[in-house]
Amino acid sequence: MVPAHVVRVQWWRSVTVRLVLASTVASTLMIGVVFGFLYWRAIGVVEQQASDTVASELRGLVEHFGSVGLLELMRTVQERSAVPTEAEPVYLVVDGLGNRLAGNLLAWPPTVPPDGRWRKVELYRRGEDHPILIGARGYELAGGVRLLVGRALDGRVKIQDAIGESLLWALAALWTMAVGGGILLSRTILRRVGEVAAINREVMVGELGRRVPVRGSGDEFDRLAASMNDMLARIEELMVGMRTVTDSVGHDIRSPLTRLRNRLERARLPGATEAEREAALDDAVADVDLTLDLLGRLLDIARAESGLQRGEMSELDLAAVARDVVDLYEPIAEDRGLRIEVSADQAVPVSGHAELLAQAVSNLVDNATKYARSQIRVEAVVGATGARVAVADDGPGIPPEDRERATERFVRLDPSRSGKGAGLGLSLVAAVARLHGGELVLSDAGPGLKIELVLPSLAAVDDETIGPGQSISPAAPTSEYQDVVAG
Amino acid sequence: MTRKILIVEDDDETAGYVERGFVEQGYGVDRCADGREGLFLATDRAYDAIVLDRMLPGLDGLSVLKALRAAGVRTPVVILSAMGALDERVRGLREGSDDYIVKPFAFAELHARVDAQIRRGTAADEAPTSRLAVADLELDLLSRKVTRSGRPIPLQPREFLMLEFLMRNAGRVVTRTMLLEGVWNYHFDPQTNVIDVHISRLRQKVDKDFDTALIHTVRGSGYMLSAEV
Repeated sequence: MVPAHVVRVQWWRSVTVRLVLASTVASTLMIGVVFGFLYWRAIGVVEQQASDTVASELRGLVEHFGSVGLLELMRTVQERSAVPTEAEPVYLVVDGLGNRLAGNLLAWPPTVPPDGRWRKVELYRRGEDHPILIGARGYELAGGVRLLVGRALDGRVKIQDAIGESLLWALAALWTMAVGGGILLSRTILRRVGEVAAINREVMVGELGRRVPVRGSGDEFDRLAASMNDMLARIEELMVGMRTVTDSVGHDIRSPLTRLRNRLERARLPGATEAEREAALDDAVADVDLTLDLLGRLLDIARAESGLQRGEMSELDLAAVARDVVDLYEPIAEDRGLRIEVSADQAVPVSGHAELLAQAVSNLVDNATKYARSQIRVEAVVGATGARVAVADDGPGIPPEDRERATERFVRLDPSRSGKGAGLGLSLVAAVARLHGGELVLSDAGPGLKIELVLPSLAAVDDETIGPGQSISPAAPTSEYQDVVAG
Repeated sequence: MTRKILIVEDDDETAGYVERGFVEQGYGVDRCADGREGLFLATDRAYDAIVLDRMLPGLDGLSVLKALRAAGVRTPVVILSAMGALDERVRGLREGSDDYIVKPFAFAELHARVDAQIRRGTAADEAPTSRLAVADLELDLLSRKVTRSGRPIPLQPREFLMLEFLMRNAGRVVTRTMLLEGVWNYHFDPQTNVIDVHISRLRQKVDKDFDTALIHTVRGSGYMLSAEV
């Protein structure tokens, strides 16, 4: 049942393996380049040293020849050739015909012309198969006599060996570290990925309350876990909301439908008079209207909560929205003996869904007209905490412990009011607030209830473009005809 | 002259309900259940208005509408749809529909709106007017003044807009929803019948001191401004 492939990835598909491989290859290349450069430089230094030594020795011998003559030179050369030293010096003195006069070299190598310049030549020791590299300088003395001084460049070989060995060690260390680190890394990553996947599976099989553990280290996994948890919380919220809605819809739609059915049954009875039937039909239509209205409101809330309408947000003036709604409700409030006081003169710029905001504010005012005793206060202000529309009545209010519940669907706090509305008004307003990234705040108006719709304000950024009193609402302008009517 | 209406709707029940309604009101009605056929009929014959469902077999409602407008057919189209979200409504209007009604609907509402669209279609041919008059009631759109029998009637801005809306639709039913949309630009349904109170205020000013009432309540539908009772 558990989809194992979620965790057990084939190794070449693993991001860790690929990352480790790539970085190992890169490091190997880099180490190669560094060692190569090192080798090249070291060789250069060693050779330069040998070249300098040979040059000064040659110079010395040439001077020696100049002052004491050929025989003395031959003796000196012969002496030096006989002393075994680690530097393996090479000497040769030949006459004009190329015959060896002195030295430890059998014949003059043809690749070393007697011009005093530094030459490299491979020579064989007697009885050995492997050539050794010799750096040498040849010089022509008087009477066709030539002198050659050289040094074996075996230091170069030693360096080569040393560097090669170091290179191997470095690579071995690197590869060990790469493999070890890779294993460690992939263990860690796989474990944390596995954790997330496991939580996902639990959520999928219905345990909506599960959350990915956050370690508090603030790393990428923590960030991923946090955002996943937000998503899971939202999913849970939606699921719970959905459950509540289906339960409540089951109840609230079933009852009017049952009522409707009973009415129609009665109208169908043989004894029913024409007038009774007529009345039953009227009631039936009213029941259907009520049910449709209920459905419509539930859909409104669902749509607002889905967040699908964020695309329709535009800049608008919350104060203008409030004024328009008050304008709509003023006559009915007056009919009920209520006075509506509005203070919404300053523009309150927000980014919002014009229609939903109007509907939300209208729900608030509508509620207030139902509960207020003598007056309603509507206020639209922009403050430090955001843009807000506040609607306060002087009615019975809501006790603090019930305020939280007031915005839930189908909740009617006052049982005697159950006839009025479906108990969806405030939950739509709350949904609209959430859609805008705001909130709904219920408080005591002393006496009465004060409900504030708080939204993120645009005023801070747009203070200059939207001056006070300047309406940017798409709703019909209110102020345009004011003068004419007043006059 | 009989007004002719085309109903493109695949739900038989709804189509029958709408057809019966319009026939009772004296309209000639053609009905079809398929988008392609609807488009063919709409381009082929002259209708006064088209009632168009959104979800149709063959060709969906919005595509029919688009094709019609592209073909230069300017017949008023009222879209009938179960998709009621505001963005859907906006899409419909953007594609060139003249009005958008969300299912479920009352026939009275549909009738009033179709009627208003037909009237608007013919009124568009007339010269734009700056004065509206019904019986002895006169409304000057430029000076924003209203008089009845020569006596000035002072109106609040919103009342003026409502009266203007009623007068532009004089003799025809105007529903509460139409008033909310036309005067307040609201597409939601306030929980309380606020419009009725606005109308009764308007009546106080327009009808109270006069012998004949001009603003009538049409039971189950809405209101009508008319010289005849």
